[in-house]
Amino acid sequence: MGIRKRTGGFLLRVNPILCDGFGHCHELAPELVNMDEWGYPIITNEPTPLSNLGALESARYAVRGCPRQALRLERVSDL
Amino acid sequence: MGAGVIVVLGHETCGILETQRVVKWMANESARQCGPCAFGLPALSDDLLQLSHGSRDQKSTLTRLRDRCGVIEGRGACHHPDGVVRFVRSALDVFADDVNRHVAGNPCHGSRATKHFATVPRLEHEKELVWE
Repeated sequence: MGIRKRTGGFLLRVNPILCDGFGHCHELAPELVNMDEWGYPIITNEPTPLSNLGALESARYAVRGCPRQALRLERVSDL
Repeated sequence: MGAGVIVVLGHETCGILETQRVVKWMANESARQCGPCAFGLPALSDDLLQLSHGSRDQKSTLTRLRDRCGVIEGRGACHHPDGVVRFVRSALDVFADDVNRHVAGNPCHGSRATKHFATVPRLEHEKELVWE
């Protein structure tokens, strides 16, 4: 037991078919999601370390806040 | 050989305009499931048309076209947009001299010609091709 070590990273992924460009993800996780000129999210392909708690929290907000449920979080074991 | 994928362009045509016609058709062929493809491909076609006909600020049109290519690539569920983006990039590469001339403000005669070489099926839903 004890403190669980936070190793690895996470990826925020979007299903482009479900996404209708509401833009909530950009509002909720501006550090992870950029927006193109048509309002659709541009999300980096680089995993973010799990130790970045702020980013992880906003990613969770974005996943829960997406009106089309187009976002998901993916765990990446090795960075 | 009868394959419909090779088109011989004559001297009296504009490579950029021929590219634009194919890209416009490809944009029309999009399933319109993903935003970057549904909105991005018509925008590419729009940029190419501006580039071929000449507008006031050609340089920014070219920059915007290149930027849009980078933005669209890899963001569809299928690889239809990627293929179109690579087609546009390769056209800009091959017709680099023509592009430079268009950007410099003297478009070729072919861009005003009515004769086209690349045969593209007539768009049935041209009115649906909106991106604004």
